[in-house]
Amino acid sequence: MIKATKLSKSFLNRTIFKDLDFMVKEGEIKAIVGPSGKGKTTLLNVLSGLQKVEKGTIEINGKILVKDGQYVKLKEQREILRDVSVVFQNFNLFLNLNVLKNLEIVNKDSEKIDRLLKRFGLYDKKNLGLGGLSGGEKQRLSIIRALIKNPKIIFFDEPTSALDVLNVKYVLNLILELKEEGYTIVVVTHDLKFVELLNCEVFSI
Amino acid sequence: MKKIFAFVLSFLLLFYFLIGCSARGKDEIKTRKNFVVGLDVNVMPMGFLNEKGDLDGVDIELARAVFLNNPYFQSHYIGIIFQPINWDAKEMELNSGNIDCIWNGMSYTNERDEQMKLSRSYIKNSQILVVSRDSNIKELKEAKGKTICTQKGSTGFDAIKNSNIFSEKEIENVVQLENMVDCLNEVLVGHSFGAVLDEVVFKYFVNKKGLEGKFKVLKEPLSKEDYVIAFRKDDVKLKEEVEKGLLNLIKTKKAEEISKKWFGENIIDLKEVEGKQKNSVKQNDFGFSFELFKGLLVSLKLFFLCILLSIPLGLLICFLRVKEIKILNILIDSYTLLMRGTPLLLQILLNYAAYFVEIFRGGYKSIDRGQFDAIKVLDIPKNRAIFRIILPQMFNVCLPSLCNETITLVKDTALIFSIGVVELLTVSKNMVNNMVSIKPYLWAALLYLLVCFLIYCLFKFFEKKLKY
Repeated sequence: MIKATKLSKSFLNRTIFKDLDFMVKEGEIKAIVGPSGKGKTTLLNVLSGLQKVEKGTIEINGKILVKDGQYVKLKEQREILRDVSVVFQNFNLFLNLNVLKNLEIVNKDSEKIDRLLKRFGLYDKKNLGLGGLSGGEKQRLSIIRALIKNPKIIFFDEPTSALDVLNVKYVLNLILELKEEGYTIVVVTHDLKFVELLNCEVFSI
Repeated sequence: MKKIFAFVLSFLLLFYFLIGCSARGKDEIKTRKNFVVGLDVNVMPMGFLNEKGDLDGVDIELARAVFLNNPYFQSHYIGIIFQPINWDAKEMELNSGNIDCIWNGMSYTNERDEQMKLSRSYIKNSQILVVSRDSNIKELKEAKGKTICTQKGSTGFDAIKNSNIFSEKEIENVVQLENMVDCLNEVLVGHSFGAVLDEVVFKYFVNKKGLEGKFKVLKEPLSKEDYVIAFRKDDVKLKEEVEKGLLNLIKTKKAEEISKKWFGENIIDLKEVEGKQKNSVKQNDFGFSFELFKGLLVSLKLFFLCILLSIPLGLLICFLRVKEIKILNILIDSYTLLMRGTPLLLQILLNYAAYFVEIFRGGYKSIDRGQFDAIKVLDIPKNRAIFRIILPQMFNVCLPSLCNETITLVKDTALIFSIGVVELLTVSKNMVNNMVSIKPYLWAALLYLLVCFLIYCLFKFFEKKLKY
């Protein structure tokens, strides 16, 4: 569960959003939509702890990350954000590491790594460098990497922007599957067709 | 128009150049010099001041005779001058042009052969054992166990030490006397069994004092030496003309005349120096010596010291710098500015660290922001992130510049010579001075090149390894 109230964020004197409220319930999917440049990704970054807000309150799974612009201690922040994981728009895989090492650096649980690699059809490619993967495969790897952290909440940043129709369908089914498994999911996208298919609550920015 | 102007200008330049040349040619003839023979004026009987205070000696007479008998000298020089020189600085006097040759009963040594152009041997001298005429000694080794005397600090004493005939104890007991007269007296009165003396001086002395028949000289010498004349390394022509003159004197018996006057017999002859070929091939043809390796070792030590300290220092400062803390930024930026902007010689290590900071910073900046986002979101421990993600990606970008900088450092170790460290370049410079040949520089260049090539290979290897 994420509950954010009255968030304000500016960058270089430009207000990105002001007094923004956002909420997603546990085990649900929420889509954040809106035109480019309105701060979709910034909101995602704020909610996942990558950027900080100037004002407002964020509560994650009942624990307060920031209250009225005051962040909790660094150690507590890390503790709270342990429940959050992100699948980045351009994946942000670790370029110098191969498939397996990209996962091991997050979590050494080899049993889980193998299980996920098999589930996502990447087990045969686990020793390849990233150059040997297609766009769809890179995204799947990035999803595995997000899952391997054992989060409760997963953010997807523009998951369909770089994919062909077949892979879009794959990701769609996957997100729905993950919801069934109990993950809370936030999808940032400008692809309204995809939002329709997700069949979920929509937050317009 | 421009073309015509350029043509006229170049024609004029050529014209002036030619005029300049011919004028200089005339000047040279006008300022024909004296043929200057350098000598130490204390060498009896080769070159010394006689009782009247005039220069006298075998070499003086020989040089005069050569000058007068070879037409080459008359056409190239006004006259002949004998110039007393500081014996310790003889090579410098020669190379600076103060004198044209050194002609003063100078013995051949390998070292001198490296530094100067030497003539063939014109007198073969040796250190000889002189005994009383009544002695029936036949071989040198029979002198073992007997009292021997020689002149203090002379070549004779060295000859005794190096002869392998006398034990250390006996060498210690050698009587060292002030001059040759004392030595000969010792032998005459029987205090000493024999005296080790310089053959040339002994013969001169015997001839002058009419002592023929009073002493017996052993045929077998303790050591031999060759008297040679030295010229500037590149003055082959002059050396040949002097040798030509000497040969002429020998043919016309003029040399014999001079020799008999001084020694009572003919000992002047132009011959090759014994054992010269071997040495000269070893030292001159390749201009190589293992000293270069010693210098290289010093250079490499400096290099590793610098590289091992400056790269980590650069890396550390880089990581502090990218934290973007204001006060730290100002400090670090002034450090890099100061160090990159002052002569490297003053601070070779810190200077390189400053360059490395900026190289690493470039590498750090080139890492995609997304990598840091992923590290943060995935909660990857800091150490693991730095060593497994950030550093490998940084080095992947920095390696070519690092390689450049490292190679520059290899060559810059040469600057350290200015604080008196004898590294590769200094060694080769000394060798060049000694050998009067630029070959040691070529060897040094080759060694530098080799080291740089190895570094290049190493970096290529790492580049391949880090490539993704």
